[in-house]
Amino acid sequence: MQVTLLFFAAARDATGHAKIAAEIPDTVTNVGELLVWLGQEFPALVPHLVSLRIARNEEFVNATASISAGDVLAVIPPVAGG
Amino acid sequence: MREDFELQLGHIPGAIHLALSELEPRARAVLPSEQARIVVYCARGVRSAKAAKLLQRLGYHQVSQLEGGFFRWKSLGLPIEPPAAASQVTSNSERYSRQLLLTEVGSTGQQKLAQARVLLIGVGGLGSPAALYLAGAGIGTLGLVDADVVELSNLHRQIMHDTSRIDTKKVDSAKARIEAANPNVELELYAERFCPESADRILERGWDAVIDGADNFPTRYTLNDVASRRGIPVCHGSIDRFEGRVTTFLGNRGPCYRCLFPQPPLPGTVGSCAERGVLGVLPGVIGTLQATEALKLVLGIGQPLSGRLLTYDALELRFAEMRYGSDPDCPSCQARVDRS
Repeated sequence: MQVTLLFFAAARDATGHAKIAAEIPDTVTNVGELLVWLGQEFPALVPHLVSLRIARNEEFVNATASISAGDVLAVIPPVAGG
Repeated sequence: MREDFELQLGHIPGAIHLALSELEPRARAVLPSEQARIVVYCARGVRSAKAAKLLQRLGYHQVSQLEGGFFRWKSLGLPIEPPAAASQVTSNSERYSRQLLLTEVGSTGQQKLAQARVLLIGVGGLGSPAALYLAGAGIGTLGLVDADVVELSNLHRQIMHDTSRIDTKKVDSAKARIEAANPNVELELYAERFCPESADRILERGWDAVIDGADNFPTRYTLNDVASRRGIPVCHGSIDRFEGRVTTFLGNRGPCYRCLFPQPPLPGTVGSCAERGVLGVLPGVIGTLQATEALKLVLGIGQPLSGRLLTYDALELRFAEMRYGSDPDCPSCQARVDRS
């Protein structure tokens, strides 16, 4: 299904993208499965998977949250600069 | 209705101060409701009589005068607010005049600012603009926590400091600058790291808000855990290259930093400003937003960014907002003292 992926901070560096339209497999039905798929598509993202959060349509969600076609999914690692 | 210099004798607790000459131009700002029940007083009753007539002409119909004025009140042994609090605010009526004009601030708000205590973790990129604006606004006490000395590479973004302060402790550099900006501000300096060993000692002194201007994850998580336990709000800001984030953790309710990011990054996976670089103006934007949140909390106005993460992309010049909720399994929230 088609979704929009937004990448922030280190995720932007790891994937080389700020925003992409992505075709994700129909087997990816929730955020947990999305994280696994992201690690496969973008290996440089793997070290960040444990700490980053996903926001679906401008709301932070957990691994069990479902994903639908047309969702805007933001990949948000924490940053600490001050 | 007395003049500034008369307030040295004290004032009636809770009273709003306006000199008679200021009454007509400022009445609407400090007395928004014509239905309000107003009692006017002056030293003995002459000016309050004039003020009462003026207020009635302005449309206030529930006005009475305190018979015999402040001196009669005092002679009856009725409570008086000591002069220090009053004169500090009113002798600064010129300094704060532009914000006193805001009905959401006014003299009542200015007194809240004067009584407030705000702690800043870090007087670096984020802490610099935050501290300067909080000092300018008249926050009564600012606590500054920073173990570092000023370095040349700080100066492109840490606007509190300048070339003459290189190799000076950041808290001392900030003290000099803040005292020049607003000598009314009391300062508590902590030239040390905010860490598990110092956090409780520093936070137990009591703060109305904390500005999180730390530059590393361990400090941010320590701050979150100890502040949550004590119910102290944290105005969070964080930056990386061209991106910034702002949110507010209310402390005694709502989600905290661990609700948002339960798992710190693996060591070595997220670089610092020294390693990744940062646009100098970026912490200026984010730190100023943190100060805005702190002022709103102190004044009790507007809506804080609780449960909302504001993200900023300087390259696109775009702000976005994402909602987040409390994690029912959050260990920091569970450790909160029940304040209900």
